[in-house]
Amino acid sequence: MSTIQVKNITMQFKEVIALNDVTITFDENKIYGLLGRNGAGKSTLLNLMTNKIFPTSGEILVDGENVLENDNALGKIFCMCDKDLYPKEYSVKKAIKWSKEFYPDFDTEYAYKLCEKFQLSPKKKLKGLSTGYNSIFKIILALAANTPIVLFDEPVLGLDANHRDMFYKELINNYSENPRTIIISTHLIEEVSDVIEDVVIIKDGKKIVQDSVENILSRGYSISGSAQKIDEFIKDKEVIGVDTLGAFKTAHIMGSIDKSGIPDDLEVTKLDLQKLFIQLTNA
Amino acid sequence: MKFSKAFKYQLNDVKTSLMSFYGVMIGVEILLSLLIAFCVGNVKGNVIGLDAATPVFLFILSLCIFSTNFSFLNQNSISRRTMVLSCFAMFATVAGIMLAIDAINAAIMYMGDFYKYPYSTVYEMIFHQFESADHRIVDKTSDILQNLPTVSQKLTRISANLIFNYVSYIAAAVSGYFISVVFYRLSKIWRIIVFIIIPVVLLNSAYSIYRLGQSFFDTISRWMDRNIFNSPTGTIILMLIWIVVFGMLSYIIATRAGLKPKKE
Repeated sequence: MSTIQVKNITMQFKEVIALNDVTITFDENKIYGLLGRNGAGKSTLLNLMTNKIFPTSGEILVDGENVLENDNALGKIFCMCDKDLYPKEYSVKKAIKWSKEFYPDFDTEYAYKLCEKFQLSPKKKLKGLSTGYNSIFKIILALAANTPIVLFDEPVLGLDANHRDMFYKELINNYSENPRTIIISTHLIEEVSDVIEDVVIIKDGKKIVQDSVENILSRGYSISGSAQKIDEFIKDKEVIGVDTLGAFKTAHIMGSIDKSGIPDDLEVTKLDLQKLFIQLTNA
Repeated sequence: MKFSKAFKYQLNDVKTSLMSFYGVMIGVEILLSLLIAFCVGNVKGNVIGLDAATPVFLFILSLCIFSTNFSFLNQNSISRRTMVLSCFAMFATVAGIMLAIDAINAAIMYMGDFYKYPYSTVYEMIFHQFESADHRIVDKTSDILQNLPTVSQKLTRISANLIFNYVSYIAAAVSGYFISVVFYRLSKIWRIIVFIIIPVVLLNSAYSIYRLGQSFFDTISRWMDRNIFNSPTGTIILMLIWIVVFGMLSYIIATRAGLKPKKE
C-alpha cells in the first residue's frame, strides 16, 4: 500500500500559475475526492503525479521516491485520464494485453468480466468507441490494474446514469476487496460524495481544504420544513444555499448546530457537500 | 524490467511495418527479375544498391515513432529515459535483423547470378574504385571479391560492407528520431520556421552562400572528400559520430518533453 506526498509543488505555464506551493499528503487505503472549479489545477496536479509534465518547483513522492522519471515509483500508479493516450487502431483486447505487460498485477480475467458487465466488446477498436465507452474502457483498465494508487480524472465523462451507478458500485466493491489509495477528480460532487472518504479542494492553484468528508460536513447542517418556518429560522444564520419546492424549503447553513433552538417541525440533516463546495470556492 | 517491456512494445510496434517493407521488396525483386528475364535483345545493365531502401525505410519509420509511443508508454508508467533508451535498443535490433536479411538477399543475388545482370551493394557502389589490384574500376560485387586473392581479404571486405550497412541503418533511424523529437517539442509557428522556411531559404540561397565563402567551402570539401567520403573507415567513423551526437541530442530533448496528448 502506498502514500503520495505532494511537497511545495508549483506549476507555472508562462504567466499562468496553475499550482502555487501546494502541499498535500494522500494516505494509503483511502478514497479521496479531488475537487475544484474549472481551471483550479486538479488535472495539472494529476499530470504532475504521473510524470506527464515537470513541476516548476517542488516534488512528488510515492513511498518516499520522487516520481520524476522514476519507473519504480510510476509503476505504483495507474491514471485514468480523459486524454487520448492509446493508439486508436488498437482494439480493447490489445490494450488489455499490453496493460498486462506493463502492470504485472493486472487482472486480465477481471478486466474481461468488467467488459461483459459494461457491455463493451473486447474486439471493438478504440477509434470506434463513443465518448462514454472510451471512459468505460479506461475505467476497466484502471480497476483491473491493481496498482497501489489509482487516479481517476473525470472518470464518468460521457457516461449515462446507469453506467455511472455501475461504476461507483464496482469501485466500492473493488476497493473493499483490494484497499488502496484512490483519488477521484470530478465535477459531479453529489454523486461522488457517497463514495469518497476524504476531500481535497483546490481553488486558484492553492489547496483550501483537506479533511475527511465527515469533518467537512460537520461544519454546517441542512434544515428542511415549511418555507415560512425556515425563513424565520435562518434570519440570523450564515446561509450558503436554499432549495425551494413549492411550500417546502431546505436551507444549508454554516456553523455548529444548536439542537435546542430548532423547532420540532423542522428536520435537520447532513450538509450537502456540493453546496459547501460552492460556498468555499465562490470568489 | 520496465526497459525490457518498453523494448518489447516498441519492437512489436514496428513488426507490421517491417513485414510490409520486405513484402514490397520481394515483390520489387520478383518484378525486376521477370522484366530482366524477358528483356529482348542484348540489353546491358546493372542492379545496384537495392539495400539503399533499408536506411530510407528506417528513417521514415523513426519519424513516426516518437509521438504515439510517448503517449502510450507514459500512460503505462514508463519514464522518458526508459522510453528513449529502449527505442535506441530497438533501432539496434531492427537494424541487425534487416542487416541479416539484406546480407542473405545480397548473397543470393550475386552468388546465384540471380538477375543475369551484375549486382552491387551500396557499399560497393560508393567505394568500388579502390577494389581491383590493378586499379581497374569494377562494378560488380562478385568481381570485386574475385579480385581479392585471399579468403581473409574477402572476409574483411564483406565485414566492412556489413559494418557500413549496420552503422548507416542506425544513423538513418537516429536521424529520423531526432527530427521527430524536435518536431514534437516545437510549437506550431516554430515548426513552420524550422521545417519549412529555413530549408526553403537555405536551398534557394545555397549557391550564394557558397560563393560568399568559396575558398573555405572548397577546402573543407576537398579535405572531407580525401579523408572521409572516399574512405570506408572515415565514412563509418563519421556515421558513428553522427549517431552519438544526434542520439544524445534526441535523449536530452525527449527527456525534457512535456506530454502533449490529443484531446478527445
